[in-house]
Amino acid sequence: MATYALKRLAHSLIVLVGVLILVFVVVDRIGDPARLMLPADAPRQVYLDLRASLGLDDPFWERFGRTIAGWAVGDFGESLWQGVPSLPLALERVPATLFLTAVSLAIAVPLALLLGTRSAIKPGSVSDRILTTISLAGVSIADFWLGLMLILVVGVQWGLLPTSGFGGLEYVLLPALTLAVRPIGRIAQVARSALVEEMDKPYINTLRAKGVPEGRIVRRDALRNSAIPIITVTGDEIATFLNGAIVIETIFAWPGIGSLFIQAIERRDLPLIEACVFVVAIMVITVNLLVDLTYARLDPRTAQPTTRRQRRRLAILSPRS
Amino acid sequence: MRHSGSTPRPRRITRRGATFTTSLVALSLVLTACGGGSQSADATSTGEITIGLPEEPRSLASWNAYSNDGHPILRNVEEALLNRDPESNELVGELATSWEQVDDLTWRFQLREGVTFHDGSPFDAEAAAFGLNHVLSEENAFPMRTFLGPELEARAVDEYTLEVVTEAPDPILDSRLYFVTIPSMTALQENPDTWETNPVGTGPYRFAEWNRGQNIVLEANEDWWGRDSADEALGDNEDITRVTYVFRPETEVRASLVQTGEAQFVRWLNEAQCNEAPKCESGPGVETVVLRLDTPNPALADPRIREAIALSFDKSAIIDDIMGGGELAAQIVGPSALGFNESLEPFPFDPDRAKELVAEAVADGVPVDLPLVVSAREGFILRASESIQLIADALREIGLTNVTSEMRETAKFEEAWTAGYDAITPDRGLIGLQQHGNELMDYSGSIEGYYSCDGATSAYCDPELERMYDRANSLAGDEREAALQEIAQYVYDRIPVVPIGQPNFYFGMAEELTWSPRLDGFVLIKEMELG
Repeated sequence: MATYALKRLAHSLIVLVGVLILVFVVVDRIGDPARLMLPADAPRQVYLDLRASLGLDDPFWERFGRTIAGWAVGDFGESLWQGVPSLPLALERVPATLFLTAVSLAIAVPLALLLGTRSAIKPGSVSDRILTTISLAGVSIADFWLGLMLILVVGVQWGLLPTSGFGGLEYVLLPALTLAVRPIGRIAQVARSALVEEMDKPYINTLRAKGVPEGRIVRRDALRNSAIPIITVTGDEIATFLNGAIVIETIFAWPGIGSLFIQAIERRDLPLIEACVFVVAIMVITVNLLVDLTYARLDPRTAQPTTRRQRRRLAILSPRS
Repeated sequence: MRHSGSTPRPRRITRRGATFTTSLVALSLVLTACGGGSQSADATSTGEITIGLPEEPRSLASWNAYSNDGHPILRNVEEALLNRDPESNELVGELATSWEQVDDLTWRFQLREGVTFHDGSPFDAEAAAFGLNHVLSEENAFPMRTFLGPELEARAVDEYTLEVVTEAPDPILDSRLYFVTIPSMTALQENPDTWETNPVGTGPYRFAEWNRGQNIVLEANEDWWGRDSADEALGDNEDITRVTYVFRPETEVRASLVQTGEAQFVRWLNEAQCNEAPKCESGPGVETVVLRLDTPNPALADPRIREAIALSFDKSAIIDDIMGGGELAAQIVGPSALGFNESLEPFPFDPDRAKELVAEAVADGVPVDLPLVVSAREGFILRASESIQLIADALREIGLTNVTSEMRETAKFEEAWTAGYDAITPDRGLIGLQQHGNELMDYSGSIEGYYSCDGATSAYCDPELERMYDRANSLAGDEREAALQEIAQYVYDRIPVVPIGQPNFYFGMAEELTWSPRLDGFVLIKEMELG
């Protein structure tokens, strides 16, 4: 298991360095932060002086070398706009993003499982069709629209929750609800189809024949056996959240990494973009690793057998080997 | 077999069920318990207000006191030598009590006595000179230098007399220095690392905290000099004792802040949102939307074509319908600027006359089918893509057959925009939509930039105009103003730049707050009244 995790990690790190280099090259090509930093009609000389003072005039390879050397010691350089080291800027946004992600999941996962299970038990029934419609709507509603509507209705009209900003639990609910809608739809859909497939398998009939109550079959056996696709899609959704729920964080002025990331991109603030990419990538890698490890736990066939005990379990579980 | 190996499984699912139930219950509890989540605490009794701004400052260093992201905070923490009277818009003393131009190159400022910085260090001529030289130095290359004319050096003559010497004559040095706030010399020397994050000035409010991504807090400075001389301070800091700035990029969300009472003041709404607020104030700023024509282009070199362009499109459709309201303009500066000529009328919308002018030019062999491109900078002017399409359609309509429109990325647009007259080739044909800010409130800066042969953003060159401009700058007082107004008439007749209008800015406010927008757009807490 440890070897497996290390291999995955090494692979991810190579990808990460590749991405950082790619981002450097692309951002370097697409725009000029000095122009954006100055008022619109700034004289050319002021612009040239600013470029020089930001070090943007140095040859590409020199800047590239300096940047890579910085990465090696964990230094992403100072944000061009904010004049302070960029990695701490990105790191201080992580707790807010994790908090928002956690609350969104706490809302989405249980609801999605409930929806998915209900509609899978009786496929094709009226309730299934209603639930399918609800979950499809969840996937299709634009999140920025939903966010603004929630602000206007819950925040302004009803005055139940603050419209935006960061603080206690009352501040996280609206952005978390907005974010939860899509995963509810996606996870419910996946849970439903996985369960429907599972419920058609012969062992379920065997259990039924043995007189096991339907509810218990679903909970104890079918749901458990359809966990892998559900976890895959949940992991995927978590990765999207961590990537920065850019639109939602911006609308609700949530101080997470997404709102910082989009600001850095708009300002062509290369050091800060790189720091954000790095922090997000580390979080996504961690989530993916955890998902992989969970697979291995749920279904040992997905991991390389490394111990005698595991090999024995594998032999028991898959008769073909 | 599988079942026996999975004894803990049912328990886990039960736990999931429990988590689900718990979270639902918690959610509904919180939802009901949070009634009144909006902060409706009475600002009048606490003296605390919240201000909603569109963006967080990039830096709180003194050089950023000119910018839209920086000044609403910095201008309350730090002060400049001069300010403008909010009603008359005249320059008045702030940290200076009087000033005069001694000769062509030298200005002398008498400084206010008994002023201290928030760190306790005294404000005197040495500190003022150090601060000005730091913010404006060529070496530091801060963006504030955009507003600097000829290079300058400040020096202390005695404890409270400051002299500023410019490299070349600068008739509007005082208008420039009103932009430059003075940071504490001690703070700058002893804690250079906190220059970007911890502003130390002499202003009515001192910096308290900055929670990045969330808010910035200021507190009233009880030792502020203005408490003893309220009439010279043009405001007070006694009603409002604590100010929290929050940042909401989305306009709709800013509007909702003031509707729910989460903020008492929000900057920049649209007209409809502002009318929904408990109180709404609006006014023009120093910005004029203009359309600049590449006069080296053979088609745009013809004065008839330029006039036709000025008449061809509906300016009120752009200012009122697309940009949300404002005043049409006949000049690239508004009434706030010295040199504003009120006898000029905005160009009417007269496509028929425009077609006749184009037809006359065609008869004389002007190549009206050359490619021309109406362009604007991305993410700068509100809904610019719609405005440039409207203009391009209107130009094709009057017979300029080869006109296209194109939004350009900032660097690409600015590269073309600030190329300078000499670098514009005849085949370029750029018709650029831009928002020109006359922050210095003096027409001469705009003439220099937009109409002179070596102007930073000029696409026009006229030796007669150069002579008029040099003459105006050698004059002073009313004569200078008259000479600048004459130039306004001169360029109005030749139209190298089509003035479109000045968009209004809208501010949403709580019922208990009283404040009027300033022409320079500054948001000064000392000018706000609570209750």
